[in-house]
Amino acid sequence: MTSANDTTSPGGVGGSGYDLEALSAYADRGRTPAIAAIDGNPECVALLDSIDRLGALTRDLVADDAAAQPAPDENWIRALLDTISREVRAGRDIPFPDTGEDARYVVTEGAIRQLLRETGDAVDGALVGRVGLRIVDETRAEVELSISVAAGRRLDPIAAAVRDRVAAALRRSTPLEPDRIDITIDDVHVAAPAATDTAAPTTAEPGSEPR
Amino acid sequence: MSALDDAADALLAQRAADGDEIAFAVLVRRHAGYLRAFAIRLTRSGADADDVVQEALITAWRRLPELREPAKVRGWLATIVARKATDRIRSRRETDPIDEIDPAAVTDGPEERAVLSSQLQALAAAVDTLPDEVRVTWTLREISGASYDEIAERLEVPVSTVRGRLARARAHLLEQMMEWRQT
Repeated sequence: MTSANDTTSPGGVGGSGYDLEALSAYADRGRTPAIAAIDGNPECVALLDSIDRLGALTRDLVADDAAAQPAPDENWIRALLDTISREVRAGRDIPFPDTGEDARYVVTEGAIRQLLRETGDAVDGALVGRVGLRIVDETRAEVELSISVAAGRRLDPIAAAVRDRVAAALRRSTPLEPDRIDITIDDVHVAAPAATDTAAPTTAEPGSEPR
Repeated sequence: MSALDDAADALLAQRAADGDEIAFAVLVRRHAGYLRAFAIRLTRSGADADDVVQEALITAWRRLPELREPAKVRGWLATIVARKATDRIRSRRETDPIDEIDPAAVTDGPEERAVLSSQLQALAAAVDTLPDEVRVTWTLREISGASYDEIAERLEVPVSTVRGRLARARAHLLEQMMEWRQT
C-alpha cells in the first residue's frame, strides 16, 4: 500500500494540489465527477487504490469475524422473541356482527393478516410476502398480497389459487367480505424439495379479480 | 425446517413488518453473527456487542414497517446496531472515564484467529488502535456504506468532521499496514 506521509507536502499528494482528505472524500464519491489532476497523477491513483483496498479488506475482516461467530444461542433468540411478542402489532379491532348475546366478538387486523399469510403459504409453490389489508368498513376489505412463486412453476395458476383460498378464508373466518384481492408476484424462489402439488385451482370467486 | 428458512431477506422482512415473528426469527438467526461481528468492531467489547445487538433487534422489530427497501434489511439492521453502539460508547465514556477495552472479547479464541490471514490480523490490530470516534466513523463508512450526511446525522457532528475523521483513519491505517508489510 502507498504511504500516506505525502499528505503534509505543500503541493498535496504527488504535487496534485489535493491532500489526503480531499482524495479520501474523492474515493468515497466513487471518483466522480472525475478530476483530471487526480486521475492523471500516479501517486494519487496509487493512494486511491490503497484506500479502496483498505475498504475491501475491512469488509473481508468483518465477514471473517461473522463467520467465526458461534451460531446464536437458542435461549438468547427465545428471550428476544419473548420480548418482541409482547409488542404485537395488532392493528384495528374488527367486530363480528351483533349476535344479540351479551357479548362482543372482535378479530384484530394482525390476526387477519396472519390468517391470510398462512392461507397463502398453504398453496404449494407460493410463499406470502407482504399482506396489505385495507378495511373499507366493518364488512368489507381490500386485500393486496405479494407472493414469491417456486422457480419453474407456472405463475398464474398459483396466483389464482392463492387468491381463491384467501377469499374463502376471509369469508369463512372473519366478518369481512373481500371487495378486491390483488396478488402481485414479486419474486421467484428455489422450491424446497419434496413438495407435493396441492395447488388445485378452484373456480374463481366473484368479486376477486387477479391482477 | 420451514419453507421460510430458505426464503429471501426481502420476503422475510416484509412478513416481519406485518407482524410475523417466525419470519423475524429467521432473519435474526441468519444475520446475528454478522451484526455481532460488526458491533464488536464498533464497541471493542463482546458483552457490549451482545447488548447492543439485542437492543437493536428490538428497535428493528418496532420500526420494520418503516423499512423502505426490504431486500436491504441486513444493512438496515447494521445501521440500527451502529446507532445503538455509538450511544453505548458515548455513555460508557461518561460513566467510565478510563476507556476500558476487553481484549479477550476482540481477539477471538486462538483457533479462530489462526484462520485470519496475517494481513487481516494486522488490519484488525490497526483498527483497534484508532480513537473511538474515528473508528466508529470509519466503520460506518466502510462496513455499513453510510454516506457522509448519514454519518454526520447519526454522530451529531458536522460533515466536515466526518470527512476529517475518515482521512485520519485512512492515514493511520495505511501507515500501520505499511509497517506491517515492511516488518
